[in-house]
Amino acid sequence: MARDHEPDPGALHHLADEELMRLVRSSDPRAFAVVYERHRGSAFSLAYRMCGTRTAAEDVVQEAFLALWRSGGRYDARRGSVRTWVLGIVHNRAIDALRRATVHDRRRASDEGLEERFETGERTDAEVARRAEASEIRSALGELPSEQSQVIELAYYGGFTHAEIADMLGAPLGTVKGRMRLGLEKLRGQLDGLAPEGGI
Amino acid sequence: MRECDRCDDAGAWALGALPEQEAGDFAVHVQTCEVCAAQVRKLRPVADVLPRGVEQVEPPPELRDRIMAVVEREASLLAAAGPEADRPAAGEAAQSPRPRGGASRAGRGWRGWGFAPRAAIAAAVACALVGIGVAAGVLAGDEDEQIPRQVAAQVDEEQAPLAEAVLRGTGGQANLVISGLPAPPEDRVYQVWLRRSDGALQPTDVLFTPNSRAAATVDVPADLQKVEEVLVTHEPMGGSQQPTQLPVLVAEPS
Repeated sequence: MARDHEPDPGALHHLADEELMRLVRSSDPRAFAVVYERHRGSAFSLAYRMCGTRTAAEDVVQEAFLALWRSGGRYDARRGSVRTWVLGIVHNRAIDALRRATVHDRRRASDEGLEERFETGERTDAEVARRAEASEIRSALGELPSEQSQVIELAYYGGFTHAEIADMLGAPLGTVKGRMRLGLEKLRGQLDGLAPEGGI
Repeated sequence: MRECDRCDDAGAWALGALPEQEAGDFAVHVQTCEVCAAQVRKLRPVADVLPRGVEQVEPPPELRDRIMAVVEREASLLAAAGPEADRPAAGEAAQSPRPRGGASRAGRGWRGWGFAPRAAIAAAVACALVGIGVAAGVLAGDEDEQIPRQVAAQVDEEQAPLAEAVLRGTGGQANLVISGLPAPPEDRVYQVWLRRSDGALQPTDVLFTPNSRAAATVDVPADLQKVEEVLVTHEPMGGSQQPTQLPVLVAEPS
């Protein structure tokens, strides 16, 4: 693992995610640590939202980031940002965890008190921006007809299949799928401003 | 735009909500239906935004410590294995991913596929195989070492445009971790093959279909140090003694 021109550790924080991933690919733990620092909040937030417990969320995030470390070479910038890639791994791992559960109890965390329990002090500019973005996306979801936001949330955050959702709601499969499609199309219009990260 | 009666599946697919067989079927359908492919291109980025919309909470600092302990340990072992430990595959640029569809296996050849007609071989050379890159590579020859070596597979973009695969080996054990793999055609199943150092192609009894998320993890019954390539084709149910199709993916352990 020869790294003849190792960047100064402090300089790593100024590198773009894609440049850091090249270093991760060459098994540079310092670059990996920076990637983790940048995306830990988004990753843990998603895992917590899906799994509903702190312990399960920690397990999912640990699995996801170790998978990233061990397969950093699979990242392809043309498919999206590092953040989108990381969150995709977390989402898949969380669904795996949910579907492994012997009891189909997908308890959701109450958001009440979370800020107090997990807050880490002063927020960086990036954290402030991330929270504002999250608020905007939740607002857009909230503006959808409730039957559309409901199926999207159950599918994406709950990890339920459309058949399970149809059973839950007592609605035909085709209706559930139609609501998913229509809801995503409406979201696409409302979230157009987020294109730089998501490429909508 | 023309309509397709499967367009509603695009939303469910983007959200990961299609059950097992349907997800695989839809992945195959998208390859031939431009209407649904356009829907996927339109809706998938929207689904990609959803994880950024959750209430933001911070993980505990101990989580970083646990993860970094593993990472530092593995990095040290890789460093001890020497400069070849994380060397990218031959011909692959270390600093930039190979352009999708821009690679060909012509240089390495499709040796051993003698059953294939010339046109099929030409097509194989021309078809876009995607090199996904290489993560951790060869380790020192300590068979007890538990740090896995990993090699990214090359995927035939025409047969499996969304697929990615990594071959992982620890000691004498190995497995293939595949995602984005469409279900095989009706009445067929994926089969794992091994190419030995003498060029011989050996069938295995490892037959599989991807799960509802178009993913599969399958054991590879071989010591990777004694295998030149691990290949996957789709074959008639029950498998074949000789491959009947060009491979969907190929991984070279060394």
